[in-house]
Amino acid sequence: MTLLQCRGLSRAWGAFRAVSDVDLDLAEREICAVIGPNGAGKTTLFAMIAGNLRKSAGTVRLDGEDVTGLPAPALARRGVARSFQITAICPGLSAVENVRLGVQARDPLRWRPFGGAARMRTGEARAMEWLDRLGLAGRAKELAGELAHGDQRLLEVAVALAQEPRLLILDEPTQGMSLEETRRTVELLRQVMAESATAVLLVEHDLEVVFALAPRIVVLHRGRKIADGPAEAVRADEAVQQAYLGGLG
Amino acid sequence: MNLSDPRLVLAFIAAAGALGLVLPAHATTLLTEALILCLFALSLDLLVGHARLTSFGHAGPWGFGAYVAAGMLLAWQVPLPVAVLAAGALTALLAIPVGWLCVRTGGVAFAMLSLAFAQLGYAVVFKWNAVTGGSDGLPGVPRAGLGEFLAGREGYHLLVVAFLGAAYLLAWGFVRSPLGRVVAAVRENEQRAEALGHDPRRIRLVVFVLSYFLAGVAGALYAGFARYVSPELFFWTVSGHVLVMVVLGGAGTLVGPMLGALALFYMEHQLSALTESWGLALGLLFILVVIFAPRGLMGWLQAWRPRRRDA
Repeated sequence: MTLLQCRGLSRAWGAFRAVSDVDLDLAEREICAVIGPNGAGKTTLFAMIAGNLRKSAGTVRLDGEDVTGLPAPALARRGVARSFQITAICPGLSAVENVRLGVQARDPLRWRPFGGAARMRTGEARAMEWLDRLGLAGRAKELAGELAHGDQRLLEVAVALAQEPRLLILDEPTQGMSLEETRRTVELLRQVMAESATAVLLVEHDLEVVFALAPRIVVLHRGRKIADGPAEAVRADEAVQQAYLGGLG
Repeated sequence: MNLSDPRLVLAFIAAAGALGLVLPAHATTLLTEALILCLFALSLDLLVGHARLTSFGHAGPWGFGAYVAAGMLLAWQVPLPVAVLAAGALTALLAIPVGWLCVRTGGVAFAMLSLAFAQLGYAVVFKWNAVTGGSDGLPGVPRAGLGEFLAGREGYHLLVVAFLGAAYLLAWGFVRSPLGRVVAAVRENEQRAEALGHDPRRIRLVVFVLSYFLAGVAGALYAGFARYVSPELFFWTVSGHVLVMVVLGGAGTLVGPMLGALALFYMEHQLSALTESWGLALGLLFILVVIFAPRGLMGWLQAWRPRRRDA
């Protein structure tokens, strides 16, 4: 069953074509990494899929529904959750409150202007579970903005997971992490992904992370898709070698 | 003891009510006015502190609420509490189109836009002689339908206290409700709020409307208090004044801005009795607060408490 269907996605700024004519399908529960050199258009592609950026051309379907023109909040309500390349959390709120807001996003009563104290408590309990799963339980009461960089990256993933999305978009989850943090994060992500029913789109620079997490890899180069397939096949692909893997030596 | 504990705050408000019954007449009148300003500052804190939308035009809803209530009281002798709530409701209604335009911006643009709307209100009441009395304003606003006690000094004081207590509970309940927490998320990180499925503009508009409702109620209570409304209520210095109260007391704490209103009102009275250049002294004080207590009186009080415990 196809969850996400992108056809001919393009984004240009003037003459510069950041993404051109990308087709991408994702099945339910499928995990797929998008790789490519700097400036290949990965973040632009994700921004279009998540509704953060208008498309110059192309369509996006989610579960068969045409969601091409929808803004980010509308897509979020349809089950798309994401983390950003530059961490987007609420720095002045506690870690657990950040995640509780993710839990609340799924709650039909999230619009209540008054009361709801009991619901807030159950939401907080759920949030604590997520923090626990990502090894952040000890940091629950700390302000998100005061957490270490690596913990902030993990917190953002926890917020997105708490939304219990159908499609989870992770933009460089281990960006800026130390080797040790990266290893821990990959291990945590692997567990969480195995347990959850969500499909995952992942951008990652660190190829070790990519091969550890994603059975399928899409390669972007200068805004175009140059490879798409099982990780091993993509690793062996000659065009990919030239464009990316070889380039890094 | 947590200074933001709602039971403590309500106890203080009730104590202020009791105080009005035992103070000399003149002092009670001053306290009533100060409590109306507390309600006004509380309403602005929802915008400035909770949503971080720095309004420089809160004289707009204040003056609008005052004029609407004065008009209803003069024309139809509507019972005063009804006039106050109706004025609040109409101010909230006005907040929908005004807010729809204002919340599309933020920062300085938001401040200027809100100021522009308040000045627009000033111009309208100043020119529209037939309805607003122009520069003379509307004198002789009756405290209709209250009975002898409530219309008197002490009675009106208690009425103001009741409205302030209810307004505080409303604001407190909103801030910690599911929707109120979303407001905090929009304030903290708009991109995150969007990724959670919330439209930042719509969320900001909700706070805007609630803030205008309470400011309209405050203005309406003031119209009944002063028994007189004039275009001065819309003047930009009123907006600046209430903004100083919020910052002085500690934006985003609900209690702080009420303390700020009390402190500023009290100091103005004390200083103006001593010297004609009291404005200068207040200006200096404000500068010192911003530099040395950037989180206002509340921040200062909260920082001070643990140290006292250690001693």
